[in-house]
Amino acid sequence: MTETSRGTRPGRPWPWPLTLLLFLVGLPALATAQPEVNMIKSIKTVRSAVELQLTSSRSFGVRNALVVLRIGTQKFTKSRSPEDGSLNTLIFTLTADEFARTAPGDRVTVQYGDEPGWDFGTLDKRLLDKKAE
Amino acid sequence: MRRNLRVYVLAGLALYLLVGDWRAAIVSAQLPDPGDLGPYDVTREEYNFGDTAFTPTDFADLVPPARVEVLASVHYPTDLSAAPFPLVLFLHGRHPTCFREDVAFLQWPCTPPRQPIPSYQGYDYATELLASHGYIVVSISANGINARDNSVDDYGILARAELIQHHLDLWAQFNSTGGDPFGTKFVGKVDLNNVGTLGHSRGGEGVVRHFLFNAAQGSPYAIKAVLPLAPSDFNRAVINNVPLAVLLPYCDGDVSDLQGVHFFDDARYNVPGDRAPKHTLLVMGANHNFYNTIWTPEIFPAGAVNDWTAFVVNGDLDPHCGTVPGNQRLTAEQQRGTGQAYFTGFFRTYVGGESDFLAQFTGEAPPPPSAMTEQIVVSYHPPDDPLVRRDVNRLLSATNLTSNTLGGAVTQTGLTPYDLCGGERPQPRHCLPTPPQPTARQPHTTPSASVPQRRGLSQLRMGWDAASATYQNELPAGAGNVSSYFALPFRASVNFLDSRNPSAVPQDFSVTLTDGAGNSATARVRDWSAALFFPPGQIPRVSPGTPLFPVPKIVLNTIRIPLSAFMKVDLTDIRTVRFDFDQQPTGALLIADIAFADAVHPQ
Repeated sequence: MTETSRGTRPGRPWPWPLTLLLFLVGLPALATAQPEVNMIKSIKTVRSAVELQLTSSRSFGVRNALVVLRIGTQKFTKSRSPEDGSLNTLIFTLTADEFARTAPGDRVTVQYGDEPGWDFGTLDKRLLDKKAE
Repeated sequence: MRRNLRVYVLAGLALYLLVGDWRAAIVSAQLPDPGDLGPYDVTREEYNFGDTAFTPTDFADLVPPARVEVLASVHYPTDLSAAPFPLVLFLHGRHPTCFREDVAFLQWPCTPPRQPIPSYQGYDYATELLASHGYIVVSISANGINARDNSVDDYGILARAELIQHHLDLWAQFNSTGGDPFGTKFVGKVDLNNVGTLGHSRGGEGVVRHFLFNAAQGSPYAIKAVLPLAPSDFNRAVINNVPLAVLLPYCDGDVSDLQGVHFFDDARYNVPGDRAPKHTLLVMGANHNFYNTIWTPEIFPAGAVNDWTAFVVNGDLDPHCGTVPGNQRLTAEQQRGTGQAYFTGFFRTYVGGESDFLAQFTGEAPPPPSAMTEQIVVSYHPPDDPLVRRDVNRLLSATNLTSNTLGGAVTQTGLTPYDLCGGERPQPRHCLPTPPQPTARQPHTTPSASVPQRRGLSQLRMGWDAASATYQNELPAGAGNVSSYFALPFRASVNFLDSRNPSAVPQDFSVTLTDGAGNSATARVRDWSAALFFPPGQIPRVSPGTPLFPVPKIVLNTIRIPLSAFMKVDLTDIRTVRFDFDQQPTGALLIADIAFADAVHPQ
C-alpha cells in the first residue's frame, strides 16, 4: 500500500507578522490541522483489465473537465466512482498492456488538465492482486 | 418591460454619442429585449419513466450494464390553442448525482435515503421564460450518464446524444398518439420540424453529437439551432449547416480552457456552401456553474460550488475572476441574466424565425438590458454565401501571408513577428510559448482529450514597434465591388504576453479602404468595437511554485466595421484593405477571418 501526505494546496505568500501571530496564538489549532492523505488502496486484476483504486481525504470533485491519472509519463482517463458513490475514491481502469508499460517507481498523480492535483507517491507494482492485510 | 425599453433606448443614445453611428444607435434603440417575459402563461410539469428506463448503446457493455433515467421537466404555454409550438431541449452537464443533507455522491441509482440531485431543474429560470414566448421547453435529466460516463471511450457523449433522441422519440409519440403521463394533451401541439437544443458542459458536447446522431438516423427531427454552453470538446465533432452559438464564460473554473471554442473554429470553412451562421459569446466575469441554479451555492445544499474559487488554486486572488476588491465577477443572478437574454434570443432567432435579436449575436448591438452586463463580446461567422460573405483572407496557411483567399497580394511593413500559429503543420502548435504558458490561456489551440494531436485555429501573429507599421490585402480585379455588403469583419485578440501591449490598455488601429481612383477612407477600430480589450487576469504567478491562472486568455472576437463608415470611397471598386497600426506606438495582435459580409440593411 502506497501512502503519501502533504499539506494544504500551494498558497499565497504569507506575511511574516501573520505567521508569527498564528504561531503564538494559533499553535494549538495548527497542531490539529489535518494533512491531505492520498493512498493507492489497491491494484487488482479484473477480467482482462487492471483497476487502481485511489483514495484521498480531499474529495475528487465531479467536474466536466476530464480527470486524468498520470503514471510516469503515461496518461489514463477511464475512471469511475465506487459503488457507494464516495467522492473520496476513484477507480481507474487500465488495460493489461497499459499496466505492463508502467514501471515500478513511476510517479502517480491525479489531476484535471494542467492543474495541480493529488500526489500518490510512486507506483509499487507488488500491490497487484495483493490481498488487504 | 417599459423600463427595459427605456434603458435600451438610452443605451442606443449612448452608443450614438460614443461612436457617432446612427445605424448602431437605431439598431439598439429599436430592438425589443429577448429577456422580457412573453405573452403566454406557462405551465410546468414533469415526466418520469424511472431511474433505469434507458440503456445507451455503449453503456450496455459496461459491467454491470449501466441504465439511466428518463426524466424531464417541461415548460409549455398553458393555452395550447395556438399550437403547434417549437420544441427546445436542454441537457445539463456533469455533476454529482445524489445527495443526503449537504453531502454529494456520484452513483446511480441513488442508494436510499439519498436523493437524486435535480440538475435538470437548474435551468427553469430560462426554460420558463422561453416557454412564455410560445415554446415547449424540455429539460432532461442525465444523472445516470454522469455516474458512468468516464468509463466509456468518448466520455459519455454518444450516450447523451442517444438520450436526447430517446426523449425526442417520446415527444413524437406525445405529438402523434399521445401517451402517459400527458394523455392526449400534446397531440398535434408539438412542431418537431422546429427543434432547438442547448447543452451545458458535457451536455454541450452532447447536443453537438446529437445533431450528427439525428442526421445519421435520417434527420427524423429538424434541428434548427444548437447552443453549447461552456461545453467540453473531447472528441472534436464538427457540425455544419445548423446555426450555432457557443457561450464561453471567461471565468470558467471547470472547463477552464474553453475548449468548446473549437466547435466554432472547426466549422467555419469545413463545408463549402454552409449557409448556417455561427457565433461565440464570450461572457466576461461568468463562471461555469452559475448557469445552473442547482449547481449554485446557497440555492442547493449539496455539490454546488463556485467553480472558479473551488477549482482554481488561489483563484480568489485573480483581479478579474477572483474575489479581491475591484473584481469583475458576475453575480449568479447577473449570470442567469446573460442566459435569459442569449438563450432566449438565440432560439427565438433561429428556431422561431424572429429577426429582432440577430444584431446582439453579430455584435452590431450591445447586450440587451436583461443580460445585466455589457461585458459580452461576440464572434460572428456569416453564412458561406457569396451574397453575404466574401472572404478576403482566411489566414489558413503560409500562402496567405503573401497571397490572400481572393488571390490578391498581401504585404506588410514593420511587423515582427509576421507568421501564422495554431493551425496545421508547419505552424507552431500554440501562439504563446507553451509551456510555460498553459493551454487554458489559449482556448483556440487547447488539445482535446480523444484527439490530442489535432491542431486548432490558424492565426496571424504579428506585432509592431513603430506606428508606421501596416498590413495590406489587395483585392484582385473582379473582387473589388463590395457595395452589396454591410460590413468589414475580422477576428482579433490582444496578445497579453507581448510587452509591446501596455498592460490593461485597450489596443487600437486604423482600417483604410482605397478605391481604384486612389481615394481612401479610414475608420478606427475603437470607434466600432471593444474587442481589442487587454485580456484581464493576473499574468505572473501569485508566488513561485504556484500554477499560472487560466486567465488572461486569448479569445479572438469579431471586429465589425460597417462600410458606411468609409465615406468618399467607391465601394464598387475597392482595391486594398489596409490595417495601419498608427493608434498606439507599439502592439501585438492575433488576427483571423478577414472578410466583407452581410447584405446591406434595407433603408
